[in-house]
Amino acid sequence: MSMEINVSEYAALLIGSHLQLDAAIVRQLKEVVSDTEHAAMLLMNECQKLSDAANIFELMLSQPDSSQEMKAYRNEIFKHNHQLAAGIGEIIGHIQFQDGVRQRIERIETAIAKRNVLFLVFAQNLVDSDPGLLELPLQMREILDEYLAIEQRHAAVSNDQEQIAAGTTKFEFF
Amino acid sequence: MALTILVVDDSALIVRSVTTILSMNGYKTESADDGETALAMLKAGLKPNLMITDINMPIMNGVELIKQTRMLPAFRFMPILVMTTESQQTLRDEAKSLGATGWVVKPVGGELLITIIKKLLPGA
Repeated sequence: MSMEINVSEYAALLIGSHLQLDAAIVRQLKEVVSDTEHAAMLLMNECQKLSDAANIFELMLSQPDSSQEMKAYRNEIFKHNHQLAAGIGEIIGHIQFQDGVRQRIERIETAIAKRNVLFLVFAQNLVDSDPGLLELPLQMREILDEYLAIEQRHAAVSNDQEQIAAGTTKFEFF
Repeated sequence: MALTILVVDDSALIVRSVTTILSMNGYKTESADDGETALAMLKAGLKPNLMITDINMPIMNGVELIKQTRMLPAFRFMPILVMTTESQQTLRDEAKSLGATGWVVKPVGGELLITIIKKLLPGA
């Protein structure tokens, strides 16, 4: 009897340590995402300032009392500003990938949490005659299938335009 | 006069990203982080020319927001653009049947977003 309990306790300990490792990995991933979100926000602030400065400069050059020399540069500056704005717009658009990554991590976290509940129940039942060993793979498969189904519903989180184009219609009007 | 666009998304990053692109292109923006807040803003008198909404949001999701918005007489014809990571066809069909005007999958770069908006708001 004491041998059985020791094996059960050891198995529960082993499962527990794996669950802690899973939780630590997810926690670290979330910290990385949080840091990049903060960096992305700072970058957007700077992009906004850059764009505002360009607009102010353009406005100054368009004033009636601007010198002829300044006016001569106006078209060139105007063109540069629009190219700059387009570039900033694309950068800001790409930052949205970060949010997609966050959502994917959250979906993995949910699946791991559900699996962990199964493992914990299994570990607690190890001392029983029937800990539910036969049902465990099926229950794990259900969790995985649910995760994969949700994941498939979402767009590919990638910068690869070909992958995006192959995966789904980017936009449509109804 | 600048056109007003209401951006509804529970991600602060997405709201910031979209509103920055819009303001850089001369649009006035308002934002809400869930459907219920957006609906309350509309009922309180906000009159946006366009609403851009996510689908998966807490409290009230985008599908319900579209449904509730179309029940308000003042917003029966306001363009509603769904902007989401969801690519499920059944969800698109549901949004369409409830009155969404278009669907775009995130992430959306500045050029594409402005092109779409100009098609939804001719003359903008």
